[in-house]
Amino acid sequence: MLFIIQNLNMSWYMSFWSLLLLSLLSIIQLYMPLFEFSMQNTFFMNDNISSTLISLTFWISSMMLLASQFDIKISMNSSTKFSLCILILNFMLIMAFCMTNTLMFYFMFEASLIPTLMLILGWGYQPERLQAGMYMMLYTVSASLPLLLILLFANKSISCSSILYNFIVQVKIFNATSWSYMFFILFSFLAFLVKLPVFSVHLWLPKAHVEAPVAGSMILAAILLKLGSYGILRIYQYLNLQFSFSLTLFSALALWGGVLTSIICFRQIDLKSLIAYSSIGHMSLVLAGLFSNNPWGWMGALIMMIAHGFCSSALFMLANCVYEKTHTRSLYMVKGLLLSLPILSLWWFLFSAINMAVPPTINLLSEIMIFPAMMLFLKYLTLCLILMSFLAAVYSMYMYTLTQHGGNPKFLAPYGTFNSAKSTVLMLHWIPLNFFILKTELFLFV
Amino acid sequence: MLSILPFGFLFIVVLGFGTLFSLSSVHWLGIWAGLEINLIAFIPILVYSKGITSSESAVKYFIAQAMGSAFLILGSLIGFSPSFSWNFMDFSAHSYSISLLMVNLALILKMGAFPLHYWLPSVMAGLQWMSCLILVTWQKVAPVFLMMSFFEVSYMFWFALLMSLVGAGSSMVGGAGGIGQTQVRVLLAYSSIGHLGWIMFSIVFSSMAAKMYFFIYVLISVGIFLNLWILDAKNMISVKSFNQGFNINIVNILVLLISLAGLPPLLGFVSKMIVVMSCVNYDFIFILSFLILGSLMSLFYYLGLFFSLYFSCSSFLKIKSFVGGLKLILINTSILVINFLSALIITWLIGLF
Repeated sequence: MLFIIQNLNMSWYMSFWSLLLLSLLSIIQLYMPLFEFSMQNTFFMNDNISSTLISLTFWISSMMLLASQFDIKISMNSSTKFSLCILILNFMLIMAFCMTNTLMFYFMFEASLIPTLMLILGWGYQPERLQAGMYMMLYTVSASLPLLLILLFANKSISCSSILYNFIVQVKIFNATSWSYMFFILFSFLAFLVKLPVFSVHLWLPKAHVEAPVAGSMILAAILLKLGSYGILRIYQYLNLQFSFSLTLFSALALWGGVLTSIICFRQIDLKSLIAYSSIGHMSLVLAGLFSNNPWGWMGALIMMIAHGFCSSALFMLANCVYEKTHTRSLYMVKGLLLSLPILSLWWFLFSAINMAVPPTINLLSEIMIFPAMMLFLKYLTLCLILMSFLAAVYSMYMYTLTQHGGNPKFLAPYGTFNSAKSTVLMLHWIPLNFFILKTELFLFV
Repeated sequence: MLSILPFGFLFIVVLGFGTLFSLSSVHWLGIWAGLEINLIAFIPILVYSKGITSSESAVKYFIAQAMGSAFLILGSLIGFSPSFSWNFMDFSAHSYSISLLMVNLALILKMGAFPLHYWLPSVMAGLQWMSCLILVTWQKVAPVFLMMSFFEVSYMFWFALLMSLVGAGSSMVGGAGGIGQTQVRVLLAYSSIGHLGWIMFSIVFSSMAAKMYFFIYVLISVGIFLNLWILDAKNMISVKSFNQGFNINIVNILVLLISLAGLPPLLGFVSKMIVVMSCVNYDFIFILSFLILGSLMSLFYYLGLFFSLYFSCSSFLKIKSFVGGLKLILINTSILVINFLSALIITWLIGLF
């Protein structure tokens, strides 16, 4: 099935091709006419949410290998260990996406941190990566322990840990009218809120992105953040949550935080950090969709997850191309790329446009679905949505003009390192973003 | 090397005998005598390297343990006066609680848990790796298991509360003390205090969980201390300057450190999860949060050690340059495999129920 990763110690190209092949195979699983779980066996199941995310994982992982071909493979930077690391990470993510068992889900959710840490530590560029790794570990691990408590508590009270027994959990373990219910919700979502991340617990993400190699950034933005939102979806289903005041609180925090992070984007001088903050803004939209208690919100959140996965991964890839060309990511230095690498600036244009949700892409679809859901849920937060939508357009344009226009810096070598592999990567990010709009019933699962 | 000394074997046998004698006796005199025999046999093992630091540590250790034994015998004698029986099984909840308290404080002092833990890091700082290993594993067996049996004989609420507070305090101290440490031995001593806190806490709820935790802790510590023994790492600086030859050991230590920190893909997570599972239905869940806080703080210094080790092995897995022989390779690989596989399997099994 989908979750078998063959023979772990294979060479670079073997792992690349097998990942591509697996992503092709996983497309078979994508379409499900009904909103239902399909059990593979006692331990694995998938539904619409997880099967799309599994396809995304395979796809992005193969793109990661292709994207870091120059960094790792050509420059002989321990490529076997790198591909091994990615395969292990991939395995853990796939397992996390299709577990029926809450404990195993938690196990895999946490286990995916270790290969990510290895990626950041082993193939990052600067000595600050130690601090970034420490931030990432401490933030996510400390936030996830309350979740473990909740899960064990739920397991004890219904004597079963299958995710599919969701209706029993709600009856058994809590009383929605009590004041402790709010803390209960906080505890059960804190792990995912940090992983997502929402504003105020987001500090680890820009650090990790800045220090990670290109593959690390890609998987961090594309999959690991999605793991957080996937966890929210699953735990929401599992605990059968009703409306609670704390959900309102989280949505307000996330959306106002999204506005703030969009503003913070303007103050960044590091290209990767800018993209990281923009992805925090987008993830806050996902969170708003999830917490809106509305099927449209959920569908929109799923689409936003996929769209943001492709788009931000491509943006990190572009930032890496710029870095390989100019050896800096500082926005003061990276200028005038339109003159030196016009093909790259075409891709910059396309992905900046996608980042601000232009019409044929699924980003726009997701925003269209999240906005009304959010308006129905809390009409006052419409202001945030308007601001974020506007600011996303502004910082995408800002990023584009700042890097592409203006004069060349003097130290820029006239030849480019842009090759067809990179074009392929970017093209393979661009196609699903634009063509999934023709097959949106993949995501409209209700 | 201890193993080639003629008296090493003798003292290790006596060491084991003392603990077993203490654990299997029902009489207070036997318990006390077993602990003393254990102490007598352990002192020569501490000083076998004839260094000044290890003899200093041995003296400190001796003072702490002798004090603990004295309090133990005193507490049991106080308990003798109401029941006129010096039998362990009659040491019931209705005897003086002061005697119960005193005996337990003696055991806490002997194992080095929270309020009376101060001797442990400074003793560990001066010892050889082998002695450290015995100190954090086998020397804990007698106090921990005695405590477990006290708890089964005389269950009282204040006693349970005391034990879990001691556990929480140990975990916090173990977490806070290790931060900023530069010596690996002291760091591992604090980590041992922290894990002891978890064990003490789990005694209250299920002795099975405590045994499981203890067993897993011993398994991981054996791996770590053996590898550090081979590398002979004294402090963080020397950890950084290992040459490239010893790399498989470093990989082992890396994995086991993560396991000791209790992160999910490894076995250390399972032990913590079992403890949490055993206490999740009781009222002490608030105290558990302190334990978790302590283990988070210890995660900080484990990660610090992890980072400095990680960068000392830029090209790891050169098995041909392994030092230590086939037996150690077998031990290491088996510990690693156990760490990886059993964590998955146990989590899965627990999930089935």
